[in-house]
Amino acid sequence: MESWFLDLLRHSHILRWFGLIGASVRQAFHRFAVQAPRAPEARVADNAASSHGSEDTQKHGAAGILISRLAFVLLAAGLAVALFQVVRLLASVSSAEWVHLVQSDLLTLARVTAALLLGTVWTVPLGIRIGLSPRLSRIMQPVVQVAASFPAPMLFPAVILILTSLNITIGVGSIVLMLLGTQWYILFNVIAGAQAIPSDLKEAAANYHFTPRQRFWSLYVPAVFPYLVTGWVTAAGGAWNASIVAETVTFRGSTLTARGIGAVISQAAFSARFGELSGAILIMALTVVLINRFVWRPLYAVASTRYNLSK
Amino acid sequence: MAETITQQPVLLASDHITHLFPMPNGNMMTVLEDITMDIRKGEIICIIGPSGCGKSTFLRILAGLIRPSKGKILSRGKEMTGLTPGVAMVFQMFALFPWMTVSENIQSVLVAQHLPEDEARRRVNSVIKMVGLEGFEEAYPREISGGMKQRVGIARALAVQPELLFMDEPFSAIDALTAESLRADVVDIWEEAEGQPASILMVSHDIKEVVYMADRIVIFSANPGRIRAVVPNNLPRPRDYRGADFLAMVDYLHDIITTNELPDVPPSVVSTPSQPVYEPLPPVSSSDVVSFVEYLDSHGGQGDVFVLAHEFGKEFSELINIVKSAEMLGFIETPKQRTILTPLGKRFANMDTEEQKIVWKQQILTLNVFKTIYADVQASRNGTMLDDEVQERLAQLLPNENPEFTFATLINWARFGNLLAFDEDSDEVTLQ
Repeated sequence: MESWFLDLLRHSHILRWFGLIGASVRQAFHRFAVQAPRAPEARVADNAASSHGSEDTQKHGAAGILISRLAFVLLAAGLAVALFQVVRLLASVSSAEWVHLVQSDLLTLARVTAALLLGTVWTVPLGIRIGLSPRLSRIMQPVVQVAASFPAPMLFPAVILILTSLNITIGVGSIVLMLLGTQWYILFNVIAGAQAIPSDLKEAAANYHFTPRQRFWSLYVPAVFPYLVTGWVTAAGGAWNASIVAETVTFRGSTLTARGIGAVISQAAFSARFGELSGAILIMALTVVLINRFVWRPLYAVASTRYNLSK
Repeated sequence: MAETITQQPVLLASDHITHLFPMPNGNMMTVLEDITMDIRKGEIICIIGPSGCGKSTFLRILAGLIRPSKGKILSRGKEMTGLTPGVAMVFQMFALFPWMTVSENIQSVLVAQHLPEDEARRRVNSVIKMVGLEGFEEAYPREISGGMKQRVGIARALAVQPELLFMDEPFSAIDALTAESLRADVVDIWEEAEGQPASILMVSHDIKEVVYMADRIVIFSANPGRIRAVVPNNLPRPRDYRGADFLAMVDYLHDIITTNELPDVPPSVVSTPSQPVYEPLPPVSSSDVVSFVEYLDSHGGQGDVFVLAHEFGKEFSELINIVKSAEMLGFIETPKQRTILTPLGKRFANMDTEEQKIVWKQQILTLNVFKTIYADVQASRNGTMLDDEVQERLAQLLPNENPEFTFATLINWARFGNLLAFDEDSDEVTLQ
């Protein structure tokens, strides 16, 4: 029997994550319930050993195994109940609502993509510039780090003020809000990539009189590409996350809302419409999994072969 | 060839180049000191030196990739500040762009030349043929071997039709056999190139490679990098790695380089210290030493002291004294716990007793104790000294040793070597 859903789950590694989470919960519980308090060093060593997974647990006593199995059964039962509840909630969502959810999701996808593009366009030239110059790297790294650690939602009111005065709607403006939190991931990675460009490639470009344009497109951009992919993946995750707070913003007592899956999630949560909420979360999760599978993974594959500087 | 080379124009010259490099602790390290040399048209120059002598840095300074701290670079007599024109570089680790195919890599250097498209394509095809890369045009660097990658590096350099080809240890990351054929190819290309490239400057740490390639060899010394010697190499081409002249040249360079790095202390300083050292004599009979040397020879010429003590049937402390004596006389060497016969010891072991006595005499006279006592006896009235006189002298020479025991050993050894005689009844030591 074939199930496209199961295949998808398998490919997306969700089941493996569940397995890992199960294992670590089991171990954590085991450590908590069975073992006497130990010196911190011993716990550190234990943590290091826990990456070895289940064979590690066999070393412990039979009582421990019993307790950990019991915990696992309880956890599995809990999950099953939750899954049943979710399915029941999802069944309450009408087909018109599903259409609405998918449309909202696509709109948010467009915003996430736009945010990544905008974030790439300005961070790549700047990041390369910073990364290539040891002096600039020294000056700018701390500046960028401080900027990145600043909580983006604190800037939302000020940014919305500017956006509304420019007559930009929240539908477009939320892209800017998403950008505030996520562009730094791209910038960090591009800086790191530019710093890692081998000096002999730079010397070759200089010796053969590469034009500035040629240097940028034939050397710097391909050389930072693997780093850029990492930056994109992180930034995309951040942008999806940010959509929940960026698509509905309360500003001067009124609420600005864009059409999008993020807005749906935050409003459904606010007014306790759990059917809609679980449907929206499911749609968003599926989108992220699909993009992971069909966009980021192929890009990673190309980055690690064709753009790999160590080969 | 060297005669004609010196009449050729100078293409590129360095004028008193000194280069400093900032250290992490804030000090400046002198990488290169006062380097003045020139590259003439139509020659292959190789710079050779130990790692850390700054030879690769110097190559980059000549190419205009690094600004020197002091000194000038002159291209055809004109002072340069930026990139040196007409230079194409081949890199140790190839420096190919991994995202470009072989032909794209070569093509990339032609962009700045602003050639018409078909001319560029013709140029790429011709260098691909020249270095033997046909069939690999569409391959990516990761798909081809190190030797092939360096062929791409060379093809790329030739594509810009440079006057000067710079090579930074181009064959050191390639297996030996491939490197050998690449060297021959580069020399062939240069000989047929009609001025493109006119000259080659190669940096290397491989003496054979340098002797194979170079018309002139510049030897650098390290810390700071300086020119130690410039050696012209007039061996006819094609050169044979196994030819007698070739190997003689290799030896010659090897001697220069090793004496640079490990300066020999003049022997006179070592062997004549201001105060002669007098050797305490171990209480060992000459016959024990002789039989030990013969035993060692008949058991493979070497052995472990502990094993020998057991086998030779002597107490360990006694054996140590025998070993020490044999070493003092130059018959054996004792690295760590091993005892190994010297060539002299081996010959000694196979001599008859008369010959052994001659060698023995000669060897004990290398010891200052014997020299001094022998001279004393010679200088004494009638060539005779009394037992007590000799012991008194020994007490002076070796204040920490028991003169009686030393005397016994001295007489025992001197008798075997027919150096001195001792009459126990008259207590007289005489010349033999």
